[in-house]
Order: sequence, then structure tokens, then C-alpha cells
Amino acid sequence: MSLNQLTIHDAADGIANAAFSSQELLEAVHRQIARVDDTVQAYHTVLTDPAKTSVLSDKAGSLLQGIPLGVKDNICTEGVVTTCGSKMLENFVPPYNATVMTRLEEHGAVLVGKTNMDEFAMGSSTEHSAFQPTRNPWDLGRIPGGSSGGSAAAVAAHECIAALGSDTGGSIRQPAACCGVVGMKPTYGRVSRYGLIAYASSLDQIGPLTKDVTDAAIMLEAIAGHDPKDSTSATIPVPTIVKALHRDMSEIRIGIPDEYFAEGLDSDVNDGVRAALQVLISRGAKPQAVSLLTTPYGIATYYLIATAEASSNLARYDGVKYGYRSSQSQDLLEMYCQTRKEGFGRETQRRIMLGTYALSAGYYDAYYGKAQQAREMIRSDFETAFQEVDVIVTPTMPTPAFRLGEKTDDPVQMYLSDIYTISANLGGFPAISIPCAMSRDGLPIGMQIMGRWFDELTLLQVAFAFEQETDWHLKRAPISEDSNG
Amino acid sequence: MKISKDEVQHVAKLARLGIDESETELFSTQLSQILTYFDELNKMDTQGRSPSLSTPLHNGLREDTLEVSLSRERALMNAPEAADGHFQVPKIMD
Repeated sequence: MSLNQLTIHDAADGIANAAFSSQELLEAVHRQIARVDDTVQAYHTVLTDPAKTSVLSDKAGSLLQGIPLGVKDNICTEGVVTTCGSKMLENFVPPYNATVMTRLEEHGAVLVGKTNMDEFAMGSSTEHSAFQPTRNPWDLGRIPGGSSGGSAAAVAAHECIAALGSDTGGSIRQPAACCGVVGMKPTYGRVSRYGLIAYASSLDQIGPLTKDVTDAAIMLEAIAGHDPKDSTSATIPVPTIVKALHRDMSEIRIGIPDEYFAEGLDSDVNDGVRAALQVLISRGAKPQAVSLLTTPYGIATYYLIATAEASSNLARYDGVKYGYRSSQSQDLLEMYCQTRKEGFGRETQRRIMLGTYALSAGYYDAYYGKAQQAREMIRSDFETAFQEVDVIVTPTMPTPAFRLGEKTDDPVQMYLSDIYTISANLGGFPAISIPCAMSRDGLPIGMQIMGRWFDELTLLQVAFAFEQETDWHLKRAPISEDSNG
Repeated sequence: MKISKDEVQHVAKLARLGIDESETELFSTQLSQILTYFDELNKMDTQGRSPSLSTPLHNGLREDTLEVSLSRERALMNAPEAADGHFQVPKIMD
């Protein structure tokens, strides 16, 4: 096994035991990027300047010391171009670090590069990147999921040890499922959003994409916690997670919602997730049917709220303060309109239009107001279920990864691939996707575990228990396997 | 819900988004399809339900004390055009 294939905890052991150095680990990652990234296209920017990748640490003994990470290109990195997958920010060099970057640097983690994404995190396939599509390392003709497709593909192709993504409607979990890696969206407010380029501020959350559950816990512990620079950041203390992953499953009640195993669910995904549930039950977990009757309304609710917030958040891209400015204009108003016409891609424009429409006079109550009420009903539905169960287990995505180009011309079909992941964002709940099966075509299948507000620990414990019994997390994408000395 | 080309142009104006004739046509078709799908929401009985999300979070305001912030130079470093320590924009009136 080459060093770039290691998990964070195995690499940390190797460095601690002087089996290899962090420099050798970084070199192995760079060799893998050189070997496969022309094909996978997971990275938008790879840092090769040693000054920028030098190990900065004052937390000696952190498991992240010297660990090479990929970071989604909507997380601000001081001095390193941060494009958000958009022509609008093609040359944007943040003058400050996102709080998560400051924390990872304090732990001694090493930034390898910035990963590709759907423009402004709007998409489910990474095909809406202004620069390049990313390919699924398991099947190069398929999408890696999105919008954090670059981060998921980089982890699956072992072009980093772990990565950060962001999740507004499933953008960490859905690509994690497509690429056969672990992806977690923490509770809303658990991780600071300071320095995360805003898409839909009431839904956005940063989280890890990793090779196993222990690594997700390591990353979460490092980045979670209160930040005075984000007024929605929670003051609730972060518990010990990494050392508390072992849990007796007989103490766990698992909710299984019928609505998530209904029409439109691929049979391989259905079979894979149901078999995975049996593994947890065999460990003593108690299954229980729960009802989430608001499920069919999730997509419409999500896309109304997310686009409304996006139309407001993206008003800042006006060609004045930073980013692209059109040269084709005579006056200020024309400069705004031309800049936004030329700088934004089609999907971003579509969502700005939808959101502006939903917020406009005469339609506000019928669309945005209605969606806000629906959102509260969806949250309440989950809260009722969580009075009876500790976690809810579902598929992450209705199908395995689809083909490149398959849904780009049909926005509604693309939106429907988020059907199982959006509720956790609407309700604010934490959720994780872990690899749990393979389809007949050899594509990874993800199982989603959702939990109560701020109870990331329980869902990581359940995920960890499953991982102890199975070896899905050890399967490797074919492209990641060839020799890498 | 059908959205006409005139409505598309009105919304584009509100969003300060330049669009040409073919885009007006495309958005009229696509936004109509999406909004038709969203009409599903009308089947949901939300009568009397709160429009605000109930969460355990509180707005976290820090003390209003002076802190170091970005220097003028760094704040302007990404500006497409700047002059004399200010952002520069095209003319606003003749």
C-alpha cells in the first residue's frame, strides 16, 4: 500500500512511529495527483510552492499534524485563489482564512489544493463547474456527485488523505455516496461558516469527506466549536468524539422511514441499504418504523428557500468590490447587468432568477412564505420521530452515480437526486453518508444516518459500529490502485 | 405555473442580470417547468403553521469592541478597479 492510500489515523501512527515522515506522505499524495488528476480532474488548484504547504503547527500531538488535505474551492484560503467554481471569482485571492482553515492550520494539517465544485455549490454532479467536470474514480464516464464532487473524488482517488466540503442540500453526503467515501454534514451551527462563500446561509454547513468514520470524527473535532465571527455558530460544547466511538448498539433505536424506500428508489440501492440495516440489527440495534409524511414536499421547499437565499447572497457580485467585471458597459447599471451575465454560469443564473421570482412582490407569500411554513413542518416531523428513535437510517441517494451529461438539460431531474439529503439541511440535523454496498455495475452505494441536533456523536457511533463489521470502506476505486512507488 | 417572457425580463431586471432573447426563451420554459413542480407544495396544508424555524440556536452577538480589521490596502486588493484608496466604478450620470 502506498502512503497516499492511508487514513488520517494510520498516517498519524506512521508519522508518530517514524515509519515515514510527513514530507514523504505529502510527496506520495503529489505523485498520485500527478498520475491521475489529468483524468479525474478533482482539483482546480494544486499547491506546489513549498512555502504555502509548509507545516504550521502549535498543537503538537494532533492527529492532523502533517496530514495533506484537499479543501473545497468555496472555503476561503488566505493567499490561495478561491474560485467557488465560477468565472466570477476566477482570480479571487482571499485576504483572510476561513475559521476552519485557521483551525486546521493550528492542528498542523497541510493544504494540498482546492477542489473542483459546481459553481457556487449549486448542483448535484459537479458538471456546473465553470472550469471542468470532475470524473467519478470508480467509473470515469460517471459524475462524482456534487457539489463537493472534487473533494469526494480526491478522497476516493487517494489524491489527498481527507478533504473538506460544504453541504447545503446534500453536497457532502451525495458525492460521498457516489464515490464510496464517508461524508458528514454536522448540525447547523456546529462548524463556523466564517469564510465559507455563502450560497444559502440558513442551510450551508462545512464538513469532512474521509476514508473512514474515525477520520470523520478526527476532522469534526478539529473544526467544530463556537466562533465569535459567525453569529449562528453554537456555543454548545463539542464532546470528546474520537475516543468515544465504541458504543453498544443494543442501546440504539433505529428509525426506518417508509417514505425513503418508496417509488424511484433503485433496486440495488434498496437491497444494499436494507442489508446494511440488518448488520446493525445483528449488532443489537432495535429497528422501528417511523413516518415522515412531509417527505414528498422536501424538494420544492428546499429549492424555494435555497434559491431565495442565493438570490440575496449573490447580489454582492456586482463587479465592484472583487471578482469579475465586464468591460462591455457604458454606465454603472449596465456594468452590473453585463458583469452578472458574463460572470455567472447557467445554473447559477437559473437559481438567481428562481429566487428573485419567489421573493418578488405578489409571489412572496405563495412561494417563499409557503416554503418557510413547509420547512417548519418538515423539521417538526423529524423531531417527532426523534422522540422515539436515536437515529434515522435511509439511502443517501435514490440511485448510484449517474452518467456525465445525463441530467444537465433537465433541472428538475437533477434536483430530484437530492431527495433524501435535503431534509437534514431544512431541519438543521446532522447526517452522515457511509459506503454500505456496491451496485451490480460496481458503483458504490451510500447509507445515510441522521441524528438529533448536536448529536453527531451517536450517528458516528452507529456508523463506526457498521464499519467494524464490514469492509465496504476498504474497497478502492480502480484508478486509485495502480503503482505509486 | 407558467412564467411568460415578459415576467422573465422583469425578474432579470430585478436581479440585475443581463439576458438576451434566447435566454429569455430558455428561462421562460425552464422556470415554468420548475415552478409547475413546485406547485406540489400547494397540496400541503400549512394553515396556521409558523413560518419560522424552531431551533436550539440563539443569535450569538459578540461584545461591541474595536478589533483589528482588514487594512484598506487588503480590502482593495481584489477590486477590478481602485483609485486613491477607493473602489472605482463607471460613471453613474452624465
